[in-house]
Amino acid sequence: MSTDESLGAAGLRDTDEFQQLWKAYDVKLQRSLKLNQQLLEEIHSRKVRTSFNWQIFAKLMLIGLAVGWNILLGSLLWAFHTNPVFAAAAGLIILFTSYGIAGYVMQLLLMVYINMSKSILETQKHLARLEAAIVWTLRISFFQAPVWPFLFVPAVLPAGVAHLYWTILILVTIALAVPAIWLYRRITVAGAQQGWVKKMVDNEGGKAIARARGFIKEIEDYRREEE
Amino acid sequence: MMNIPNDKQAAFLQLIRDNKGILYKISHSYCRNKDDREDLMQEMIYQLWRSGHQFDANYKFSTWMYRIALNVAISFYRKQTRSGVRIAPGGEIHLMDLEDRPDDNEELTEKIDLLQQFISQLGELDKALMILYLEERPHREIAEILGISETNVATKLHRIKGRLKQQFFTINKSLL
Repeated sequence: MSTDESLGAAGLRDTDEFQQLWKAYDVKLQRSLKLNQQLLEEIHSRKVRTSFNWQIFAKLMLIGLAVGWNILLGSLLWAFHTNPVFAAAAGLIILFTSYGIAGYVMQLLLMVYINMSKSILETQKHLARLEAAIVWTLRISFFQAPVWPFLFVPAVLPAGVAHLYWTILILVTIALAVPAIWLYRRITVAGAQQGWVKKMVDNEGGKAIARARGFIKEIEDYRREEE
Repeated sequence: MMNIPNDKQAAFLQLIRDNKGILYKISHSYCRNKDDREDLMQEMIYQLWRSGHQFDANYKFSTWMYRIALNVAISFYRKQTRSGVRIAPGGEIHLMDLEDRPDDNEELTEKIDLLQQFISQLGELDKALMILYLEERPHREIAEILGISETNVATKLHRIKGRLKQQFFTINKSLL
């Protein structure tokens, strides 16, 4: 039996009958679909009242805190620049924090400029970029952990304890570097599908991350066919 | 700007009433679960309201509405948890309900269910394309809504319709 015969047996003579079927569905909906007017008004008024975007507020707060932290660390760097270990550690942390600030600013801009009335490919690409920015910022923020112990290295170590002090410091650094590198490698679009990493990314506002990878590919495939 | 006269809220609610069928069909195509559909409908209504100021008079109103509704549906579909205002937990009261009517054609209902089932199996973007085709939007408008060329719309539609035909064929074969 050919596919056309099969469609006939299913009550559809050709593919345009999909449209006829959809039209019949529309008629049925027009006749039987009841809209709960009271609920509609309630949703509308509640949504409008709660339209304040807490995600944007949270990002702004984080940017403010990070800028404040960089100013504080910058002042300490200015005051203690004679301590080379402290200066290097503070400089690196300022650099990482600046990367984080850039990431949050990027997220903020992407969030503010989301326009649902743009074409579907354009809007979905924008949303996928936002997801990627969330992951990128999160990865960078963990990567600075191993540098932290060096902030507490005094300019001059008491004689006799220097060896022990550096040994402990290196061990603590390794202890922080291992999970930091592990997290850096784990917190990817693919890794974000797993338990606690997913939870962490979710808290950062990237709940859709788990499906992002496949979807970015789908968008790329659409574009490729376009080319 | 969107042409909403003096009473913005009343005009907006009328807009939703006029287009309830479209919102219902889109939410049914993207969500199989009843509670999720309810959340999606709320989110589409909210985004339509919120995006009113972004309406570009260079485009048709339907283009604008389909873009928002489908963009919301695709984004919503990709989320694993919802954050909508759940007014009716447990699903006793719904924003939209389809009444069972004695004059409903059972065969027609079955075919619609089958078509819905096929649509729900499509990828997120193909699903949007198919809905717009079924809504009888011209290729030019579909291209504008999706952001691809008319030629690409025609090619993709041809492929999807071929797959649908094949699925109807397979189901029919298994019934024989």
